[in-house]
Amino acid sequence: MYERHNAQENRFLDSLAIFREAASFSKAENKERLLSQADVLLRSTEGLAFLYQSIPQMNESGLFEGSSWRDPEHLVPYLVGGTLLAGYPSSTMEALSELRLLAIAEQRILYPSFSAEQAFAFLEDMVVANFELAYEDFSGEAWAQYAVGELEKIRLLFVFIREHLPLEHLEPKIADAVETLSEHRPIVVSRIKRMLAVIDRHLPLEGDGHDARRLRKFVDALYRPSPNADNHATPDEYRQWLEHAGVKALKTESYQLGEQMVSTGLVSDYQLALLRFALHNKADLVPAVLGLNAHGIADYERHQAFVAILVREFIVPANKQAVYGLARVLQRNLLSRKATWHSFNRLTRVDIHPEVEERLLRGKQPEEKATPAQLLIGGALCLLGQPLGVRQGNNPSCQSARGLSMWSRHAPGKLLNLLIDAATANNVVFRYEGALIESAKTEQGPARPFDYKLDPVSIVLIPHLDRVYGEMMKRAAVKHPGDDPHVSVNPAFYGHWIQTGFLSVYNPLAGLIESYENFVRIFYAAFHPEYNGAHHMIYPVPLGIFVTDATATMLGYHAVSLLRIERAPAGDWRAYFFNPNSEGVQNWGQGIRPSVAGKGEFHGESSLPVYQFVSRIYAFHYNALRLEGKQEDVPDEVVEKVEQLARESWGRKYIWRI
Amino acid sequence: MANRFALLGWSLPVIESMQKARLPYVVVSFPEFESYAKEHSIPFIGYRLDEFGSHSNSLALAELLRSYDVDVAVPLFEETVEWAGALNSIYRDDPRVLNRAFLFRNKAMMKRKALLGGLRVGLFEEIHNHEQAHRFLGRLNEAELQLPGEEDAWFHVKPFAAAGTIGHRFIRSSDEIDEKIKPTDFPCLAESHLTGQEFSCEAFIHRGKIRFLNITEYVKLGYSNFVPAGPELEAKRALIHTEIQKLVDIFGIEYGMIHPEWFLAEDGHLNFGEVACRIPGGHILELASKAYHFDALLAFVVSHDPSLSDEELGQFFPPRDFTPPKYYGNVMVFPKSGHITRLEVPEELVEEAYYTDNNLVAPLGPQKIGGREGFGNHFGTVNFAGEDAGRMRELLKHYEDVPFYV
Repeated sequence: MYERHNAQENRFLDSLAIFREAASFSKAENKERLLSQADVLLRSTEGLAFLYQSIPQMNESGLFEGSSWRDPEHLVPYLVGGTLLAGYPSSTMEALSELRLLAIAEQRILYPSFSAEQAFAFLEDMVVANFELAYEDFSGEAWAQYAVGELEKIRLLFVFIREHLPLEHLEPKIADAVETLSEHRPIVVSRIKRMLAVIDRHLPLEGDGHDARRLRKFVDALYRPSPNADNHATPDEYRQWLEHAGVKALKTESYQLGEQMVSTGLVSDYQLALLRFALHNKADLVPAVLGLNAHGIADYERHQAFVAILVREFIVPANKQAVYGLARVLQRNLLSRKATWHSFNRLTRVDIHPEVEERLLRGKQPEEKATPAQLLIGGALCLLGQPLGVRQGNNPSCQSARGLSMWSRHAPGKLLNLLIDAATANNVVFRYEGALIESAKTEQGPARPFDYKLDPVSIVLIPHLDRVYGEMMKRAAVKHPGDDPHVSVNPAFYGHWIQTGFLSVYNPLAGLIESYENFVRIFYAAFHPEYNGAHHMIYPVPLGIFVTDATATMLGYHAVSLLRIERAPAGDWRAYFFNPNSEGVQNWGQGIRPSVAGKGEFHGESSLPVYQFVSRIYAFHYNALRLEGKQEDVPDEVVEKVEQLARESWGRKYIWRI
Repeated sequence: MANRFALLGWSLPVIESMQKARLPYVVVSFPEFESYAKEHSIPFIGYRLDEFGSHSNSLALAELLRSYDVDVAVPLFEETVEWAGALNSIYRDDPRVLNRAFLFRNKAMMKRKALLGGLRVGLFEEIHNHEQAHRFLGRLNEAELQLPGEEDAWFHVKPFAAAGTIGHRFIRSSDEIDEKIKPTDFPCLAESHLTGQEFSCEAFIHRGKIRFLNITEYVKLGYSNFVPAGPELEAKRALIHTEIQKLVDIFGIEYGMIHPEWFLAEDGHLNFGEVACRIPGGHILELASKAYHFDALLAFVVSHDPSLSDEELGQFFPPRDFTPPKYYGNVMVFPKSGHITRLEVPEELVEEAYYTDNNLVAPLGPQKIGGREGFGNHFGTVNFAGEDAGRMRELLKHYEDVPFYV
């Protein structure tokens, strides 16, 4: 083996020399060969250490020139994981890029535009943003789709980086990441849970340090929500203790666990055990276990029997997060709405279509045990309880995810009815301008692998909704040529909550951006309380936005919903919005970085200063009857500020009519 | 040493070799390459090297090259062989140099010349339509003493002047004449099927003598080959050398490199397939460079230079008694037909001790792969090196079928 490594290393050095000397026109070809050898070396500890030794020479040879990895200052920590999983040759370049950053951090490479401190910070951010990957052993079934050698490369790379980057130093950043994730309250908590699992295993959170305490709160909520839970290794043993515990102890226990769930959004196995015990033996403790306030308690008391059935039949350890969903549903008094009550009852008794069952099962972790019905009902509780917790995952389904969120908030009955149709008939039917559109009869779009890392309701509904939406867009293009198709599609798709006015910055006939000033004025006059007569918004407004990257370059289009414009605690006016694709840190360039916590956001909201938000919008619906000329009063400087941001970002890609 | 070599056509590896060796050169190629050449500081003359014919004015090209002081022309493409021949006719003041170039470009003429000189060739004829193909097969069957009900004899048709295997059709029955041969394939050469193990050589000729002979073993034509050939074929080196010298004498070749293909028949004789005088495909010269520790591309160029003494020439070649210590082989990777989305280098390859490197390109996105024409369009090459020819053969065979794109 030793000789083999030696031979590989010598060959690599030869190729590196050839690459360095190569004529400009044969660099590319020699680079491919060099990379293929680096790829072999990355698969062993010795090879990796050797590459790290050679990284300064590789860097000097121009290996990173002409690639996306050229400038360290333009790299994005949270994109590293996806690139590492993208397979050769991207994964190999990415790994070498990390080795270069480590060499910069350890001052083995001097970079004028990127300091050792910056490199360290990048690596820390990178490990935190890719935390699960950094500690994964890749033994789970979910990794079976990846090539073994590719995963081994990733594992060895992180082992290597971790040796150079003590985990303890990462505590503040990890705590930030966990808190942000928790504050944003996604329905699917697998990411935060995987992070907490790693922290529990690898990070001794002893001592009274500030960050250790911040992290301990979450780790405890998940693994040992109370001293009594900590004393009992399994929920079963804990349950036996509950049987014999005194009233006072039970009460303390219930409040403690309930509060932890409310403050973290996380449900532990112990809490599910406690809830079941309480429902069976001490119903008066249930509100405490669920962390309910007076509104929630009233609804619980009214629907006690139904709640007991839901928990007993449909909530199991695999979908225990539904306990939080249930608590939120009770808080929202949803079961006391007739339409919701009946549709939810009906949902619990449906025969699920075999194809839908299959999809539901694909969405859970292979090692978890739950029936399709449990997944469906648990998922419905979660979506109704957390309307802003929907995410689109890696699916290009922002429009549909936005619909689910809006219906969950404003039309839970409609949502449940759609869900019943999709679950039983594997079909949904919508109206569009007098004609019916059935998802089952529409042509499927381009084959794209569906990302199943979604909540169960999304797994069931999104494919149908996407098809219906696509079909509506197709028909709109034929029926209303020259018009923006959203004008007719949005009301048909989302429902009558969509306002009748519509504005877009783009004139498709002329191919120009036009009347931008008017666009901005009307936006402010319609939604901003300082200019609309001090009114709050009533329904969410679906908006089209230009997505831009960290250099403010346009990347594409995206759908979000504006929820409210209000003063943040710090006093500035902020737009609070729902973004179905708000995982990870976002940087839209020009200093525009949506925040998800700490700036007055409710769980699940994103926010930006209003002018920054407006600068990315390209279309919105509004109510023309309520403008009453208020747009004229919007000050010029407000409009100019927005227009400048727009022109210098996505606007660079378009022609503007002056 | 030549004042300056004119490289006709386009080959970046050759240009790189010339740059490294600091030999004077100028590239003559289509004007489309000019901006690229400028960008990379490659001395360049743009010229429309269209198919050579009676209309072609090599005197005008020679005039253009005069200011560069060119005195040796080197063809890099199949299509530039006559152009180089025409220029070298002028430089060497020998009109027959051009005639010899035609030999390489007209397969029927090539075969006739070989037959005249006593090389073993198949039955061949120039045919112009399907009917003539049927008649050719009839006569071939007759000569093979076919009885009623017996299968037809096999034969091949090839365009007169195409490179490699482009337009080559292998006909196994009279039905296939109409199925496989397209009207646009005519006129072409029909030749009876030659049996035996196919292999190719690269013979570097100077002053009419073979200075260096490389034998390449094909594992699968167009997919994989290695250098030097395995011991079985290398055992025939003396015979091969003799036959090639015979070919050189018959054709009257004085300078340059020829790339003949042969079939080693079971009776131990060699059947002559065809010969080209351009750079062979399959990265063969690169393999030869590694195996014999020299720059075969540079050797290819300087072999065209009549002014070199034997001693000067020798410096570009391995010593005459050099025995390569290792075999160097490669597999050209073609995605299998159907949809592909990404490159996946197989684990077993990375673990393989003979594996050295690859230059496979990742697809830009999902794409559909159709068939292939000639041996073009491969997605890259996987390289191997090792001491045992048997193992090399086994590996190359194996990796022809392993999917690299999924």
